[in-house]
Amino acid sequence: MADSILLGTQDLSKSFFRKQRKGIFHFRADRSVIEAVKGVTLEIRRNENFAVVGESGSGKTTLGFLLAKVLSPTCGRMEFEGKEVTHIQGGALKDYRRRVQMVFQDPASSLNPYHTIESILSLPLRIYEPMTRKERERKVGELLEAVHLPVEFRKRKPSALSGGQKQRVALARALALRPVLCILDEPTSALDVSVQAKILQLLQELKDKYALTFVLITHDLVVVRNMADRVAVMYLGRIVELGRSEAIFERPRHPYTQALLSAIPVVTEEEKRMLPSDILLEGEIPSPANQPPTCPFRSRCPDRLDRCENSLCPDLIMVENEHWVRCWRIEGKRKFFPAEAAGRKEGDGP
Amino acid sequence: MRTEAIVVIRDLGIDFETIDGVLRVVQGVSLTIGPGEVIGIVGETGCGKSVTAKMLLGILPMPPARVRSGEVILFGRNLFSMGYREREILKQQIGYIPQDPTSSLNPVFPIGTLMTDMLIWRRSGQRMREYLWMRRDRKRVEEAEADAAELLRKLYIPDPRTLLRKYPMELSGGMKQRVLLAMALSGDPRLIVADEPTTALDATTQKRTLALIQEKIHEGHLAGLYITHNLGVARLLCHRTYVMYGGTVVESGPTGILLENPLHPYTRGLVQSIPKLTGGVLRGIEGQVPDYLNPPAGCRFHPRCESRAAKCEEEAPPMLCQGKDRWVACWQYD
Repeated sequence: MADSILLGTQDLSKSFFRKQRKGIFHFRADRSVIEAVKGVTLEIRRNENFAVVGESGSGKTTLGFLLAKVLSPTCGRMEFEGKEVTHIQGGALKDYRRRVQMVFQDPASSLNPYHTIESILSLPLRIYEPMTRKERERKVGELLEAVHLPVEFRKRKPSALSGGQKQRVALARALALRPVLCILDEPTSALDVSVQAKILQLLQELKDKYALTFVLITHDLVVVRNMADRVAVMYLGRIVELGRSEAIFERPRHPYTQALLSAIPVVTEEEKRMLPSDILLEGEIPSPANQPPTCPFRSRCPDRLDRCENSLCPDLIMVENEHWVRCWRIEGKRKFFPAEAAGRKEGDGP
Repeated sequence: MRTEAIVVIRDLGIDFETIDGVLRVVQGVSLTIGPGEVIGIVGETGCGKSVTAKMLLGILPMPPARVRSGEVILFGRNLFSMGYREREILKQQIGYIPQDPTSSLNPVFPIGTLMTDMLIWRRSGQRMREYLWMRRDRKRVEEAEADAAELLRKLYIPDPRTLLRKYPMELSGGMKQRVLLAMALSGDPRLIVADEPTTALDATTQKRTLALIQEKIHEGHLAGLYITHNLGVARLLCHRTYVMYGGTVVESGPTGILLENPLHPYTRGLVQSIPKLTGGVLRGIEGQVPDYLNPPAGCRFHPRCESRAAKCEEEAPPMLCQGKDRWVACWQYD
């Protein structure tokens, strides 16, 4: 069991500190802490599709950046293939980045508009793999073929490509170094439905071909339902529900997950019956700045208790096998990670 | 309530004149909106749905764009034969909810200024002299402010007076969209045109905003034109739906029936491309949206169509009736 865990995190947190001056005579600047990711403990298993869902401002992209080591965590631990990688630097970090690749949110702005597709795709190869120009050209051709783009595209620039084609190039770039884990940030949200379906097909195909593990960061629950094996629902930096995809979609327990599911605009009658009844949430996701340590969802929860306002945020509680919920209304066994307990003894973070 | 149709568009063709040549963006679009009916236009990016709506509102920049053919009848009057003044007055009866709430509100002014400006402009009879005069009159401004607050209150915005002092930057996306909805509803419109109002919003906010739009449309017995690329949203809100592809309407019909049983190959492809909760294989549609500079001859969908015949390349199919309110533009059903 333990050896199939590819990437594990314990109590991973990231805070941003901000000083804000309102005008030049505002001498004591307002200080605020934005806890973008709070105490995320999860493990990503080899060859699975792990999805992180949530609305904008829920910290899902920040979590993706932490996993890809674009950002370093404020506290918490990360383990990759059994080795601690929380504070790796230099060669180890370079090696980590080779094994874990990220596809960024908007393909249009993550591809350099002045470079040709060939130079975009060969850049990771130049950095990591010493090879002759001939070999590199051949490799670029292979990559374009893998994402079903014609080889003529190598001389084009991103501006000459459509959204779906740009997304394919971004995928090819991530796959250039044969990573084991690929973090996809909103892979389909900028695309039209007919193109989206093609990209999802391609993702499945690439996963089978290169034995990849995907972390899917998205707000589109229907895509999650089709792609993901396990799902983490995030709200204001915390995971509020975590479990296998079927469990989350068929037996959602957290009120936020239920509301999120009921908000999916579905196309057929059959799908409508699969969703929980209408839940309209009041208000919007609050600002993540200076949140009290209570349950993050308390302000919008349709059935909150006094306890939600007064006590600390509840722990993740196991309701069934591999299905954890963070809510005071749910009673059961506390989520327990053996690794987490070990990490706690050593003390959190630096 | 009159029973005649609020909007009738017949065989509308819009060209864009560019340096590269004439782009035939919209071709032969016909649609009708009855009173109290919400019409959806669905289609992918660049299918001409926003252009059609902007034409209706008269906010399409007219030098590059040019109406090639067809007529638009708004509230029983022909839009192209009337003068500017008359058109401005007619336009007041249309409420418009734009696509992106962030770029539609001027960031320099607080919400209150934006709303009172609009109300006073409307009250001045859209004459600059009167408007400037009324804008200086404190009593008038206060009156307009009270009305603006009332409009916001109707949309369940708590404490509208404070909101009027805020700048667009300080509001969330859903709140901005609600302010825009309030502005759209301010002139007691008979028709609401919404151009993908919820695309930029989160799922739960989208649900709330849609519920609100639905409620207001129902309350005022308004007609609506709802443009979206999300078929699920169309299903939720629209009585009838037009599916557009490459500047032409390919299929229309009651939303539920259309989505359950699509006839046109494009609609079928679109419905099959949407990931479903029930799972199943996603199909997608091969190929690209057509180039408007020299669109494919005949049916514009034929290069991507799986069941094309020789006839498709020669002649564009007319709208063929397939049962009550069901129209499809495909030679298969001839």
